[in-house]
Amino acid sequence: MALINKLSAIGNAIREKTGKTDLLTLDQMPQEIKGIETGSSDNYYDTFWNAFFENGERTDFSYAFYGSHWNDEIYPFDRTIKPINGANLMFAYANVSKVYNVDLSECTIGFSCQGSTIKEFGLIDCSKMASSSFAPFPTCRQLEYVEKIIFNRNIKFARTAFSNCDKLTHFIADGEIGSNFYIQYSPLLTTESVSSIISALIDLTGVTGQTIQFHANVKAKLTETQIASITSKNWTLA
Amino acid sequence: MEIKRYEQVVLIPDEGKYLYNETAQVISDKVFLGINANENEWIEITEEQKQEIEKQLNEELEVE
Repeated sequence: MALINKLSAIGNAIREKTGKTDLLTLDQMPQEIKGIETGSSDNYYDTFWNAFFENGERTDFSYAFYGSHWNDEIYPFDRTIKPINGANLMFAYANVSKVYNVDLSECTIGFSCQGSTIKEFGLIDCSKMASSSFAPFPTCRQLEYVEKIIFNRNIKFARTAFSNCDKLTHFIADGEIGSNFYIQYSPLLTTESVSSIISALIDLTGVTGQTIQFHANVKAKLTETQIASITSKNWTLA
Repeated sequence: MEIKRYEQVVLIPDEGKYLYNETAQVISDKVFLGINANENEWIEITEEQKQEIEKQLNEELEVE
C-alpha cells in the first residue's frame, strides 16, 4: 500500500472517531489522536453523569448509590445532589467514605445510608422531611462524624436510626426533635453533640411525653442540669 | 422569673434486672421519668427476658 494510501486510511480512521470531516495534515494527526484518547470536552464522564442526573432534572434519588460497587473512585464528589421526592436507601451498602455534596433541604421523604461504610457526612437538612420511621444511619459501623442534622418535629424515628454507630463521635442536632429518639449505640458522643441533642428536644409539657435513649456511658456523664433539662420538658431519659 | 418545682422520679430496677417500655421499645438500666410520664409504662424484666426481647428487637437490625 502506498504511503499516501496508508496516511489516508489513518486520516479516515481519525475522522470516523472524531466525527470531523476536514482534511487532516500530518501535523494535526497526533493532536486529534490525543483528543480521542482523552475524550472531548463533552467527554464520557460528563455524558454519563449528565444522563445519571437527567441533565439536572432528576429529583428522585432512591437507591441511587445503593450497593458496594459505589465507592470513592466512582462516586461523583464534584456534583451537588439534590433529592426532592425520593432518597430512600440512597446510600445503602455503599462503599463511599465521605459525603458532603447532598442537599436534602427540599427532600420530603426519608433518607438512609443503611449498612454503608460512610465515615463522614455533611449537613442533613430534614426540615421538610416527613417520615414515620426515619432511620438515616442504621448499621453504619464506620460513621464517625455528621456535621449537622436539622430535624423537624414531625419526624418519627425508627429504633434503628443510629443502630451500631458505635464510632459516632460528632453529631450536632438542630431544629426540633419531637418524638422518641434513639442514639443508644453511640458511647463516644462529644459533650457538644449531647448538648445539641438535648437542646433540640421540644417542650412536651402538657402533651404525651416521649423517650430519649442514650448509650449508658453517655447517660452516666450527664449532669443534673442536663437531666433536669430533659425531664422538665416531659422527656423520659432512658 | 418563672419557678418550676417538680419531683424527679427515677426508676431503678432491682439488682440483676432491667426496665422495659414496650411502647418505646427501650430497655434500660435506669430511667429518669419525664415530668408527666407514667411510671406504669415501665416494667422490670430479668436478664433472660432482656435477651429474648433484644433478640426480637435486633431482628430489625439484620441487613437485607
